Amino acid sequence: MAEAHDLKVIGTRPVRPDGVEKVTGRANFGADLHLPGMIHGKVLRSPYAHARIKSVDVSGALAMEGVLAAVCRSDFPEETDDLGRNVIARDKVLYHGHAVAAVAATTPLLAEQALDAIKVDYDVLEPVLSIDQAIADGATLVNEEMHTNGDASQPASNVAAITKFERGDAEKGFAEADVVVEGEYRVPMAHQGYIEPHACTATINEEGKITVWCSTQGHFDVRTQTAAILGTSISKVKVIASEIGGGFGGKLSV
Amino acid sequence: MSKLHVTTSVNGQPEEVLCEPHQSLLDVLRDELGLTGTKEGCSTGDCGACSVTLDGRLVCSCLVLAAEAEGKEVGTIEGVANPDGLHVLQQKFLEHAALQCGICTPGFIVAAKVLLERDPNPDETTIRYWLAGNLCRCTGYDKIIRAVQDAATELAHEA
Ligand code: FES
Ligand code: FES
Repeated sequence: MAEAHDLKVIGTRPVRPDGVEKVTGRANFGADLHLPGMIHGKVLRSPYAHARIKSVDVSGALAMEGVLAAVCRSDFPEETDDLGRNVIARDKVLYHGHAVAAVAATTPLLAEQALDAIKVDYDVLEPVLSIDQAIADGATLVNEEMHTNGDASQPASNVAAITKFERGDAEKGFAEADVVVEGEYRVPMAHQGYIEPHACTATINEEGKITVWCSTQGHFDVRTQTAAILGTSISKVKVIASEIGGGFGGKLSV
Repeated sequence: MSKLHVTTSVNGQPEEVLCEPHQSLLDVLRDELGLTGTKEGCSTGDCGACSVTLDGRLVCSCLVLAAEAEGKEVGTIEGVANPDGLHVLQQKFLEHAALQCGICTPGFIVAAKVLLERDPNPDETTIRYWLAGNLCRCTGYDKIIRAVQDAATELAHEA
């Protein structure tokens, strides 16, 4: 066995390489970048858990002084996937807080005020609030384009996936067992609870080249997803990861 | 809405800022003065990431209006180290690995510094209560407490 003094790493107490930056406040996290002429975005979110969007009118926001842009579903490529639908609601809002529109303004306060000037006409639908309600026969469908395990040969369903872990012959095992304990276990929905909120700063130039600085657990994923959501190519998107103030799986996608 | 002219001092430097009446001290430190070491975790007074001192008193800068800093002395994480090097607390946080992601760290150090100024020899319970307003999701707190205890011991030796 090697003597302790021969080991380069084991047995030492190294100071983390980013430590000094972090104890002095110099480390730059997601919200710490300030670009000249930077503007601020805010998102308008659905007050309903389930509704069909009849119309979105952002013209009121655009007419306000200091508001530079306002977008909704019609500004994004029609062909999209779950992630694209999550980033901005299309025909329906699928949960309370689903993004419906967004504005950019010269100050955060103006952006916030501009959200009130956006008109959204909803057809409110029955919410599906529990697993029992979601999997019941004839349940109201929330995402009408979702099929269990992505199997489009089956009718749309509220069940995103069924995952089974199996090994050996379970039936035989139960039959031979002295005691069989059965139970149903439910786990609540949980949030990762990182201390740093999601944050991102981005620029786009005349040639459509996009640079994104953000707090992320996977900057290549953010690049791929950003390009897909905006309908551009990944060669036009560059993502620079900041320090990350906790993610725990919650900062894996855009 | 016209802006307010606020004269204050930050880490011993005189500062003048024009700010909106609704702007928090946190926003003005970060966005107007470029002092982004003070972090925003919740902006509702729950996480302590935005801890600073106002005339020596520990406050959540997200709950203080920038206009309230008029004529006061503000202390932030950027003022904790001195030209000769890191503050003992900063050194001990490094030695004890009292940080992981580091987003909570400026708030913890600012808060712990105020504690040690008031009570140079706090016991573990006192430290835990004093830092109860600072949330950390990564470390599990234990190493933070040990770092503060060790810093207190070292400061006592220096004195
Ligand atoms: S940002 Fe002020 S307490 Fe969380
Ligand atoms: S080190 Fe990540 S929240 Fe404290």
